[in-house]
Amino acid sequence: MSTATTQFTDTSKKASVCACAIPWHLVIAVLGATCIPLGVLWDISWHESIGRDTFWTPAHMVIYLGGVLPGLTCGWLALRTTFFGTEAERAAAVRFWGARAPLGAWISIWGCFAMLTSAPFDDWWHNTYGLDVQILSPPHTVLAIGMFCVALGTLLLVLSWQNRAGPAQRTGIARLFVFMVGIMTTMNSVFVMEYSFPNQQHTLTYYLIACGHYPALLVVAARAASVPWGATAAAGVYLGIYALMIWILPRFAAQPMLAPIYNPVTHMVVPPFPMLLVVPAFVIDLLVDWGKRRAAKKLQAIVPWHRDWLLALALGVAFCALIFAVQWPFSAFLLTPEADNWFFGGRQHWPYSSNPGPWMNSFWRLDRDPVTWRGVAGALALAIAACRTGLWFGNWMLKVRR
Amino acid sequence: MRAPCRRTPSSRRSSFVPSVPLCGSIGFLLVALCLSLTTPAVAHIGSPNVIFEGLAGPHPVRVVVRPPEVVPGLAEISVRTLGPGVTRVAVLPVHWKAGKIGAPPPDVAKLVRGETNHFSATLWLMTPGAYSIQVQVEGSGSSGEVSVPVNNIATERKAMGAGFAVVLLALGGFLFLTAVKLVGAAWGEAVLAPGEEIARPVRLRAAFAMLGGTLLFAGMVVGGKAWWDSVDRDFRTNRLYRPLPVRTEVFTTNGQPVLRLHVDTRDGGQRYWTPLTPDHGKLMHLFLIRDEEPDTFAHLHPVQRDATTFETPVPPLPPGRYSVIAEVAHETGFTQTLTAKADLPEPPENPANFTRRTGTSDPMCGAPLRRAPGDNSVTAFDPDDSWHFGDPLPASTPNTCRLPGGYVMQWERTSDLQTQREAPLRFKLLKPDGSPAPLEPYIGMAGHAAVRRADGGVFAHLHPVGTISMGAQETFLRRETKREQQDKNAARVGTKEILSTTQAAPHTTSLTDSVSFPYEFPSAGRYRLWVQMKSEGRVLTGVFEAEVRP
Repeated sequence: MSTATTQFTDTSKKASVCACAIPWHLVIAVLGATCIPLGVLWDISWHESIGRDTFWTPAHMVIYLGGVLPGLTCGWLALRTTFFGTEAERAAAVRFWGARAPLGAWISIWGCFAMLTSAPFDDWWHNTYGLDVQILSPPHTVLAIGMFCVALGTLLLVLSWQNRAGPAQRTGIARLFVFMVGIMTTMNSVFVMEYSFPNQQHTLTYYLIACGHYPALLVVAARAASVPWGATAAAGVYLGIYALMIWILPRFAAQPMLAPIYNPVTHMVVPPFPMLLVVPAFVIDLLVDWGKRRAAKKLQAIVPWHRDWLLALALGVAFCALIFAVQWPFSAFLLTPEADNWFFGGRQHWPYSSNPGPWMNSFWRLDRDPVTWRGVAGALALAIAACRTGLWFGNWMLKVRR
Repeated sequence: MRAPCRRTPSSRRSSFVPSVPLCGSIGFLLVALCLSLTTPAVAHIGSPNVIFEGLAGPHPVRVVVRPPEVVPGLAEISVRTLGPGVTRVAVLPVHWKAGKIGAPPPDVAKLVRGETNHFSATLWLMTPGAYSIQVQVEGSGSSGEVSVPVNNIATERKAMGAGFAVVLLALGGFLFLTAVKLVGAAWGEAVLAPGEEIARPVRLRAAFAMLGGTLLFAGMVVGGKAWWDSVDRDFRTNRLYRPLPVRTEVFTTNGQPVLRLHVDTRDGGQRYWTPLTPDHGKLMHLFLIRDEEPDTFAHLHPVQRDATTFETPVPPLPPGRYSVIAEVAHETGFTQTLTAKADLPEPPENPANFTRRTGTSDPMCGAPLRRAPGDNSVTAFDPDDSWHFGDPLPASTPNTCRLPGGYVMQWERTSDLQTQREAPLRFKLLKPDGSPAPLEPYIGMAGHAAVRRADGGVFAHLHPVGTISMGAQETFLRRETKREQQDKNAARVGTKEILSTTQAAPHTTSLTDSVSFPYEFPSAGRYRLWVQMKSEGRVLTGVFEAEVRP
């Protein structure tokens, strides 16, 4: 190891002895990134309840905060590390066109630029094709990629600190890391919300989408977090954010301000009840932890190439089976009058523009998009691939030091 | 500005001689079959702004609605109060399907700075189809409301400006390059222990990661572009309004040439073609304008033969190629202007034998016809059909048009015409002795006018109440009344009584010797105006020309 590495190790040891608190810039960045899904869910509720908005609605302000706080924090981190950083801080940074900052900071800054780029693109899009009232559109995707990268950067910022931190700091920072995985899971869920209504949870597309991306993040949390039950905790964060929105939003009165109004809502519309990801996440934690203990017991210096493939196979099968087992009956319950209460939100997620009818309590597209054995095999393959990707990223994340 | 009624070389060449023989020799011959591919047209051609002038309860107002070009989009509403005492103006959008009960609270229009009677507001129109802009006017002690029907439909697909494209490409390129570099850093320096030098294998790994990142991001860009293209294709195919194609044919039956229009609703056109509602008692208002000699003009009212077919006898107009412009109003309140071309044959030998379905008005402008006994067959003219052709009478000037029987129509111009400016077009009819001619209602109004830009890119059918379709307005009112009857709680009126114009005062303009048409010319150019008024049982058509400056 070079001299610089030795110096850094000495300094970080001194720091870890005297400091067990979580660095403030990590806390601010995480708080900022948390604003993104909160603001987006609030904004969707705003559009579904009130409809008319401006640049300055509270929901928009929260979204901007979600970009500005991590962006400014990471920008400050880059400036400080480049121009005023200690030798140790500079050694723990990544060089980018002569400047230095942790990798996560650069990714967050990139995410902010992507969010900014989406603004004029979105404006042009509205003027050309009309105000898009759907979540998925090309400019919204650029915005979503930007938001995702702001959150990913924050996650990597926390992760690199976790991987360098001493035992006193590690647990706290690992909890922040798991929290960030939960935030990213929530963001992903918003992006696919149009395909995830309870009414769609008996269609194949829903299971393909769910199996294709949710396992990756949960497996990352289980593999890379320095605390147990990472996946379960991340799924709990996702569940908690949605639950809070479902319980808090209806406390505020709202009146639709755009025509046509078919469903005259009187309070803020809630998001649909989230998936019960905690169930497969719990099993993911069990399996990944079992893999860790088994590897530790064998004390193998070189990990066999097939170990993670077999683990991914087991994780994929477990996720696919459990998501079917849980969401199939649970979605049926959500469509019943018993779910129409403050806890589950029931029919409160229908916007003002929805014409009330029996279609609200029935499953959609059963004829055009049925769940078939072939489709289930596809969902299983996607789940295995997502789990393998999660393990791959998790392994990489364990190595991220800067 | 050119004298509208003066003789031109082309008019001399093609001036029509009514005694040309024709009908017996043609029989049931199909003369013309034309398919129209025309400019987008929803309720008028190239003239999207909707103008209404009339009463909102007791308050006279002029309302201009500039509908959005895309859906959802923002409509601009301008309300000018033409009487004293107005204290508040509010507007609300009413979708045809949801009605007033499905409308949000009204938006209060703001007084335009520096004006005392001019209010403005904007409203989001969210879904395609027919809307009614309800204008509520409050004054000292009285309130009123009026419905202004508008079409909400995407009419234009804007191209991206070159400058904006360059900026967007530059931003995209910057994001692409930096993203690739970040991937290299993620698999290179970021996984090294702090302070560790970057060894050659790490550099190689980072390079491979950057290569992989480049491929991945390039794939994302290509996929994104394909997605964008599919959205654009869907917009052009399904969301951008295209006028329904119309096939025209002229055939002869019982010696009478008949023009048949068939609206082609294939290729997704069914969604635009719903049941029709009468506008001024007619299901279709049809205009024929001769391409070579635009002085020749007819205002006809075909009968509907089936859901998409209309027929009307052809007046004795000079033969040639004609622009066919047909206006219809649907029961939803949606209005359409359909366009086509038709080749008209030589007219019958004796036009005096033409029959009329019912009525008493004299349609011929310039060559009065003897009225034949009433007949309701398809070959009979509608009593309100009228047409104009032939050489203009001498002594016409840019602002006066000499008419048959010694009548004179005067255009009372007050200023030069400019685009996007409210320009009430006022016309006066004088008897041969110079005294004002008493006007009679013609198709329910004091007058009708048609405005057409020389190149045909703009066409609008005007009434004294503006450019709105009164059939659509009545449809909205009928539907709302029915809803209110069905559900007494549906009416969202406050404690203050709101008078609806159409309920309180039907659209009968007080008949004087002059008629004013509120209008805004949408673009610059040379325009031709045909103004129709009725006096002493005769429909008289004055032709004028105007130059509109930008």
